[in-house]
Amino acid sequence: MITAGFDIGTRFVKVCVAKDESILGYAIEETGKDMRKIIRGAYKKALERSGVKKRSVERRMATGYGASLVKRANGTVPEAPCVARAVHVLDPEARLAVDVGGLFINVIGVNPRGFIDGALTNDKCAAGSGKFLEMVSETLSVPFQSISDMALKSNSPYSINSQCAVFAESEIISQINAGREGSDILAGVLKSIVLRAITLVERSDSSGRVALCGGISKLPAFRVMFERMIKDNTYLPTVDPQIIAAYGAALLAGGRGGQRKNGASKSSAPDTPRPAGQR
Amino acid sequence: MIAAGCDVGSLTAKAVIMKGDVVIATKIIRDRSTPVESARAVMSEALREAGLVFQNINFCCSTGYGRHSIPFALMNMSEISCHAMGAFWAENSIRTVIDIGGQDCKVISLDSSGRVLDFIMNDKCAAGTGRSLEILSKCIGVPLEKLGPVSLKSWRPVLITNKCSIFMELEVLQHMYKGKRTSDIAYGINDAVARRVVSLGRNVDMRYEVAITGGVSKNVGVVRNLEKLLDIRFKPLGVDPQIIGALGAAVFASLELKKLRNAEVAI
Repeated sequence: MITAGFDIGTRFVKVCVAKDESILGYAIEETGKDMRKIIRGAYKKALERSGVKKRSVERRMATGYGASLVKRANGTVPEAPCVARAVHVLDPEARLAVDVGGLFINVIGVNPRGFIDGALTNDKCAAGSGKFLEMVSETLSVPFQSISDMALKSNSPYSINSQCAVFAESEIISQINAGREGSDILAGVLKSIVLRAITLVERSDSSGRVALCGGISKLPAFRVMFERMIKDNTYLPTVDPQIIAAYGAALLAGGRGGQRKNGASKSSAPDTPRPAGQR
Repeated sequence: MIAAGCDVGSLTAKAVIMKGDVVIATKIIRDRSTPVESARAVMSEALREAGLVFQNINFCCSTGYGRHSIPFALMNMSEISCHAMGAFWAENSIRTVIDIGGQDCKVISLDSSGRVLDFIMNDKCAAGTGRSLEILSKCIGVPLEKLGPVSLKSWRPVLITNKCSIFMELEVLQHMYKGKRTSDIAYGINDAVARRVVSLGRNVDMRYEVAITGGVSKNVGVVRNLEKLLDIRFKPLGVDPQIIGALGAAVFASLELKKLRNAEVAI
């Protein structure tokens, strides 16, 4: 079955077209004023890349902050089950997914059958989120691709004193004006994001392989710092980590993900739990 | 005898010059690059308004976050004491001061002589301060000083539930996408900021009369929402609420001058 998953995030719109469990094509577009238009555009692009006609897409599922904006979706799902499902399909050994996006950091426990097993997020306060990185790279006019290289060059990362993202912005600007190296500031910002993610990981009590996903985990410098601070092994998905949630939505659109050929584990649990989020 | 107060805040610098017990000049400017420069600039402009020069100042007291580095100040007092003293000097029935500044927010409770009994302060989070108003007003394209008047036109206000300014920004954008009216969103913004202040002030005993100071008190929307939420009426102070901190500093300076003079007489 051909399905499409829409992940409408705070910074990017991700659309993924999948056939059963393989990704046919995907598109990532930046969010803007006219969201409907951007979503339509991204969908069109994803369809073109996967070489699939619009009408052959059987089911569509939307997730993310702006999931309700996707008018043609068959339903909406929270992010956590999408990420859990996608991570489980990509690596059945992963027990924890860390999804670091533009504003939200989600830490999602994944049980051996691919369902969510507790999820934590920074939903009260934007401290230590990707927003920091965006502000700094904008102020320093560093493109996203070179953030990582610059941050890796730093020997003495500058640690940000402010808790609040709004105050951190002014602190960073005054540090730039005071002549601090851009690479030190970038490294400090990445460190604050890592620390925030680690606190969430520590609060969740699952242990096992950790899968890193979300746009920020595309940065090698982030991965290096994260791996240095965490005791469990990490795993980076083989697909673009930014589209994990969209891929998960496409998988969930395909139906009850829990009925994958997992005969053994299924018989041990008599009450089959409903895939979380499917209504 | 000339006493001066200088309040270097996070966004603006304020100066007040007093001759005896009368305020002769006040000035508010946007911050310069360093606290010292802002203090110099605001003080020289205030002096020009009063027709004086730097040498005329007998005693200067500084306050605000840059208070330790002002070269011409002979003493410094915390913003909390200064706001309490300034409001008390302007209206001596004041027992509670709510100060909402550019980067912090505080609720101060005072006794019948203007001394601070208790206070609570938020300087860790931008929610409930002028900073979040500034960000959100930019978001809906209304100038900061119009945010209050615009919000009064609202008749179907939106509710902003997030606590973090950055998440509030997202929520405001969502309301914009939905095509809500600017005045309704402006009301929601003022309401959200007022609610943050109220939840902060819950831990301080608020007694009558209550005064509101700081730059945000110039926003009618926030003030009205606060009055509604707290079920009180603010006592008008008769002076620009933004200069209360500097005024308090000037009052402290003139008190210090009196003390010095009495000491001289005693000798």
